[in-house]
Amino acid sequence: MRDILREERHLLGASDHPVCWITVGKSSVVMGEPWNGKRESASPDGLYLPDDRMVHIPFPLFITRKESSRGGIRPSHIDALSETVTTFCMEHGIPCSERPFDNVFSSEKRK
Amino acid sequence: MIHHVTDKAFKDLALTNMRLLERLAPMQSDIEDLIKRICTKKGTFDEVQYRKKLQARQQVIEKTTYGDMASWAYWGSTYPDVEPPAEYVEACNRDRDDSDKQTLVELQYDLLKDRLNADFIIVGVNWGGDEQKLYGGKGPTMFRNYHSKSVTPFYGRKDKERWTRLFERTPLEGSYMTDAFKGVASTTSANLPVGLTRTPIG
Repeated sequence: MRDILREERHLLGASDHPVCWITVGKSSVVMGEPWNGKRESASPDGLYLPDDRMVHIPFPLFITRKESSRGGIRPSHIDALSETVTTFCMEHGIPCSERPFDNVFSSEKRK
Repeated sequence: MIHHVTDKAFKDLALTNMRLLERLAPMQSDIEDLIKRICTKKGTFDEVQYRKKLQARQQVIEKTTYGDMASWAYWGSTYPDVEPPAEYVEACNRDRDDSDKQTLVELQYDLLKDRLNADFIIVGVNWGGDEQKLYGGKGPTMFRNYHSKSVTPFYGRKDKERWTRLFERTPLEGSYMTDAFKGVASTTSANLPVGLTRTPIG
């Protein structure tokens, strides 16, 4: 399915600039070469370009659930997401607050 | 600099056929296994339902476009937000043809264009709906995935609120969202056949 993702990137108009990938759960299998951070070179099939970034979230609910004894939330995942997105934005001149995902936790705390 | 989504990109994504029939052909036996599992309840295999699902799936998947499978990380303040006003959708449902579909896509783009970006791509696992309704709902409206009330429990009300709130007022709001395993419906990735999840595809 990587060829489909490549086509989506192309149709989106994102084949001429780096993108930041947010991957969730087993989608990393299709992504083929799970990595976190900045891409040094393009992938052979052209799905990834140099300077692409990726942050992988093992399971979507981990990033939004309150911490529990069963390990619902992993604060490191939201931190990783926040750091990757912030850095990517700084590199590419995209407006972004310092801690873009704080809203999730601030509203959880109010409950 | 934010890379905005052009009207051409929006239309192309909405209307381009994914050629899923051809692309999923190598995985056909894994997909059939998954549907068999779905049609087996309390140890009893319902062959009639299985054949029905396979046939419906085949017909639907031939027509599937990216707009049927993907969406945008934008929800706004009222559900469903990615759709044009109801009167347009109803009119198009009455007289479905390709020009109606084009018009709806143009209306959707007008509503969303200032909010979309081509800087982030969010990749979920797999589509959680029904094999017989690959379009994510009734009618010709595009980009319903992740916005459908029927996509539960994963994006059920409580979790959907968290998921959508995560993106609100962040650079990810308005990003393109897609699934890794397209055209393979399963409510959880745990139900995906091992063959689909063990090795990279394509």
